[in-house]
Amino acid sequence: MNVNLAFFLAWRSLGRNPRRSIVSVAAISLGLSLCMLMIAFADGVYQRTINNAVAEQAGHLVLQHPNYTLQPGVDLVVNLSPEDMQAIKQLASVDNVHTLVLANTLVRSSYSARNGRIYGVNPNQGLNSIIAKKVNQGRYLDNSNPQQIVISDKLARHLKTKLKQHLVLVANDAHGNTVEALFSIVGIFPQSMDGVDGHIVHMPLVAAQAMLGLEPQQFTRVGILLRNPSDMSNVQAQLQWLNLPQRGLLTWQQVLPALADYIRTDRFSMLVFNGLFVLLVLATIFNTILMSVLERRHEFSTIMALGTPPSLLRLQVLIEGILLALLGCGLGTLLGLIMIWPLYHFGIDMSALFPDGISTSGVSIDTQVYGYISLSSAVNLITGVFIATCSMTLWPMYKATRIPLTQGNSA
Amino acid sequence: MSAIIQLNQVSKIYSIGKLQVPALKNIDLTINAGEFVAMAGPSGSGKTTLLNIIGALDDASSGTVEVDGKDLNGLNRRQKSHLRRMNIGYIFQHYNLIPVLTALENTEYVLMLQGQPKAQRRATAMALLADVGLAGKEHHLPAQLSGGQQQRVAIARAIAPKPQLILADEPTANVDSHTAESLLDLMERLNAEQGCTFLFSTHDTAVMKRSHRLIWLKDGVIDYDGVPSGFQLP
Repeated sequence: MNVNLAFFLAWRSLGRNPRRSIVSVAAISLGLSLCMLMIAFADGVYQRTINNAVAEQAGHLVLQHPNYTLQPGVDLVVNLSPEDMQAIKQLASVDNVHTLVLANTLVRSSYSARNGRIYGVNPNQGLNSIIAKKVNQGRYLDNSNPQQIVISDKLARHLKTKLKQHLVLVANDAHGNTVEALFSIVGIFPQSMDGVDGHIVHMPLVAAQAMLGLEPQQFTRVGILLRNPSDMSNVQAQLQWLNLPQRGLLTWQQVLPALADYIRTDRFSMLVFNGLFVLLVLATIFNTILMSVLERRHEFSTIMALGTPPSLLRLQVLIEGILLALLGCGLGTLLGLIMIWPLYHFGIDMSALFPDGISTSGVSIDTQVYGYISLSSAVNLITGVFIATCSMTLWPMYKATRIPLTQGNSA
Repeated sequence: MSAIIQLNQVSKIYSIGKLQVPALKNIDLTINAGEFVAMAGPSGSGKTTLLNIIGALDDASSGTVEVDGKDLNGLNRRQKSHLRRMNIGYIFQHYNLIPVLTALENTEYVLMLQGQPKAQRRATAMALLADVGLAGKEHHLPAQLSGGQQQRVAIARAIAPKPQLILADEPTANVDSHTAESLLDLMERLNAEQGCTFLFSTHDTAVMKRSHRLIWLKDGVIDYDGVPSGFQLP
């Protein structure tokens, strides 16, 4: 088969019918770039949410007592020596290791009492949390004094307290005793719209350990933050030596199943939505390619009457489709990247839409949304659109060679 | 002289819904290699249908058609395509040049299909275009040529592969009388010099008179077959 001749005819046909070619390429590139943008927006939100969640509540990988998920208790801790901690940090894929002490508490003022949730964190690592960023009265925790806490404005209102005043926290310690300690309020943050973070009390890790009767190497959770979340299974394999009977090494999806389920469900919805969108674009492309064949009935009939093998004509139509798909996908990728770039670098501030913040599955979502598309998502999408576009030529290919040859001999 | 076209009891019936319209009725015809034959008749007499069947563009409803010794009924689509490519040149009434190709590319198109080397086919096409009076117009697209010029390109395209048989459907219908004369001169010259068999349909009495043999079709049957001088127009 004369592939060069089919390519020559296809190229000529596209070049000499610029309007039709431009419409097809524009439909492919616009559809692809919008899909890329939608994926980047959604993946950006997912990634940011996951990052926030793993930074505040856990890590990409979490070391915690195997029974803690089912029966969270302050006595269910993991012991991790400084040497083990150092060994984890030395892995190339590990960005940081966060330690966390969690416990339920009763927060008491001279006026009232409310339930709260202690987050004992290292002040330096807590600085990057959403809570720290949201503090709008006072400041976040520092290393100056262990007896300091940061609470929500809602909790402060209920307790009729304010910045620099003191609160008593009552809790059960790891040995089953009821303990209490006095803390000074150094910062207040606005509670999010649905009150997910209304009960949170951030305090220094050392203060939480001291109050709850824990040793310095005892933590409720040790979160391992990775430079690249896709390395999770590799790092998990490398850290199997940590997976002892009293130390379960879990993924963030196992620690935060509600969030993992939400992202999985939302991703599926996005996939369906994108699929429908791509179908609409493909319908336009199919229509354009089929029309381009049908409007050339006379030309194709003549070409075949001159002795062109039907296979060569089919190849010509296929090559036209492939060239359109290549041009459309190339341009669409470029256009998509141009649209994603400002979203990736500057993000969109959604705080005007959500003045009280947003959260899902018990995790706060940053109102500054950044776009992100992974290489694999982009490659899958572009390949999918390319193959789908090429497949749109199959029926027109067939139709091209079914045109009666006598058509060319009529006006 | 050997027969290049042999038709035995060829009929063609078009079905339009439940209506059966006979276009050709039991045609028997033999045309020998090297003949210069005109086919005429009133509109609807079956001229184009007959040319389409001989050119392997359409199938007969019944009867046998042999072109260059090959029974068209026994050929599949690919074989018919090969026959058209290698043995038959077709000149259409409406020129039917490929609109996205230049005059030169149109002329060398069938040579490309035959797989001729570029230099060789380009030289052939250039010479033919010069021969039909289109030197300097080689790189014009069909839309940039007049009707007569397009028909000359169509003739050049038909004769480029040096086929044994050239079928022409009213080749002079859409050109002025002067152009028609020069096209006939060209066709006659090719017939004489290269021995191409020409079978063309026409309505033009001047064209009929220049043929060596005239076939008059009426209502799907051959009403006259002989020298033009012996024929009286009805």
